[in-house]
Amino acid sequence: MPDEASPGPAVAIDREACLGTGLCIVYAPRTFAHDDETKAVLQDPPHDDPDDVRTAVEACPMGALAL
Amino acid sequence: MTDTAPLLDPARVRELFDLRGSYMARVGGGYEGDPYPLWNRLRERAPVHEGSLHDLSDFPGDYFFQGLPEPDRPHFTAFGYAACNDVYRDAELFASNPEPIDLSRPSPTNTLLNMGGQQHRRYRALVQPRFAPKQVEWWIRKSIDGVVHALIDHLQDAGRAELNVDFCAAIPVLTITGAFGIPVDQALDLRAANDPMTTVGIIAPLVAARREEPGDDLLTVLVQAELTEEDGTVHRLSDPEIYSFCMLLLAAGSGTTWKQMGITLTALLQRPEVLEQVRADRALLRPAIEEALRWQPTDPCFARFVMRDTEFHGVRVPEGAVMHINLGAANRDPAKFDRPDEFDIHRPPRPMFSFGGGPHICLGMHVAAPRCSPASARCSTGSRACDWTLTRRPRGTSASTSAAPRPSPSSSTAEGAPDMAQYQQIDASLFGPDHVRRYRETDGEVGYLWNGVPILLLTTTGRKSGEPRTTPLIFTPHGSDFLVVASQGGAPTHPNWYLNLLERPDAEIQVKADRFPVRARTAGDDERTRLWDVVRGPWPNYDVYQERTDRVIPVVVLTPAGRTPRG
Repeated sequence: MPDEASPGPAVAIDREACLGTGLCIVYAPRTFAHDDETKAVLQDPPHDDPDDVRTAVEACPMGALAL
Repeated sequence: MTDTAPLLDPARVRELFDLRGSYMARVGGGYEGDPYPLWNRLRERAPVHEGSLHDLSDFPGDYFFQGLPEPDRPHFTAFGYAACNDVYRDAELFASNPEPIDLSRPSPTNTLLNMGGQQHRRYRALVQPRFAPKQVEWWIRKSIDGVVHALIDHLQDAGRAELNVDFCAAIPVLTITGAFGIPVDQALDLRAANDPMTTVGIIAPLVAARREEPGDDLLTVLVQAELTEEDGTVHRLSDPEIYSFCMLLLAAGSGTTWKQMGITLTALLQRPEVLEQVRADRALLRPAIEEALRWQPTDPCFARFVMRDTEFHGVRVPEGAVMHINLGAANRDPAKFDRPDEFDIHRPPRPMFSFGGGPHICLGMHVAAPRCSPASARCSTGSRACDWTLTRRPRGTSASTSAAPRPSPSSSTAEGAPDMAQYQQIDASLFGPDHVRRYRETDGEVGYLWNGVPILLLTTTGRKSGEPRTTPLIFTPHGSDFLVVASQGGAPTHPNWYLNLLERPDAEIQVKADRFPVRARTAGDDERTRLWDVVRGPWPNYDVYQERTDRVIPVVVLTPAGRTPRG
């Protein structure tokens, strides 16, 4: 179990690039969510395994996420 | 068929969804080998090769996918994960369409599938929210859950299933049309429509109806969608735009899930030890579906158009060329996956290309797995206390897998339905034509008593064919008459034998060794109420069947000919 208190890797989301495909939510469902415009936002606090967060960042088909 | 009928006409489904039939031939349905060893070798040799994927796979021909073939253009194929990723990501260099598309003409290719840049982004944004992860519940509630359970209940009653036809093909067709708000009886018409005008003919009245009266469905989403142009003006979608959207989503939503479900079920059924793990822990079902997607994606190749001369992974690629993306090979690239040829449901989740990549990544990907998931769950874990025994149809009939349930001694219960407590699990080892044959051969020694109730053979005259049609039916003796019930397990339509009797009420029945002519009539309202109590006594499942359908299930009185009909 990841420690909820640990900050984990910092993630930047490019809202202009985000298409709302939701792939990040598949790989790191406790870190990412969709807002009302179906754009990726960070959950507060994000609490996935850092490996899962890295996978989500790599998986974004728009390259809208960065560590 | 003893007592139930499928939601869709099985003969028609078989025709449309026969993997080796003419409908599939143009997309490569005739290929029989395992292409992966060859693709692995090609990928090891170079990440990008000159030539189309089918030529490189020694399967020459002009196959149709995503608008191809393009015989006048040079072709290249990307095999490596990194190369495929680069094609997907650079949508300007590798465009979905070489020219702007014509939005005034309804066609599945005049859609976001073939758009680029900001236009693609604007159109996709109209439908993306409905396909987002948090909308999965809507899909399950709207169209997945009911369809899956109705299908499995039918299979359970029918006793056997050809999974490819009765299950894998039926679920996506019914769920995508259900989500659109398209009636069940038009689902197959849409699948069969192979020219845009036929599809428009079916969709246009439905679109007009949603403009008048909005509903909770995808057609309403499209009708109400507001598109903001680059200059800031806002407008609704035109009718041709809506029709094109429908064509794309209906096509994309049925074929892919059908085949992927078959791949997943086959992979599990061929690996009993993996199936056991999934049975024991349902949380493994999702990883099993994901792994099947990686290991054998249903559509292993897509294509892009090269927009300018480029040096790509060591190969000179000219402007105007077609770049095939062999995502099947990329999904088995050892640079990304350990032991890539193994079907291993315990892999850590990694990005893969089964839903494509880049801006055109599959719109329906979050909905696809749930559509496979409850279906596979009920098949593989047997929530109705039912194990499935896999058998293979002989080659040449239909390329698919069939299965029959093996009843378990434990009693069954289902949530919600009040009369389910009395629902009787059926031993359907004797079924349909086999049932008729064994009954005839033995004068009912085999087949007269079936699940504790007596069976007669009813022979009607086919209303279209004029040929005799024999059906085994549960009956209840009533005075000198015989009562049978046109339930079809609660299917939405009357069984064929009943429709035949409406045309020609003179028929023949066989009870054990006795064969004699009868005349049929449908019990009237009051009489039906009275007789329902008579027939439901020995077969309480009739109450369950009636719950499933809006039609009043007819009770049919068969009076031996020569006697005066009662009532």
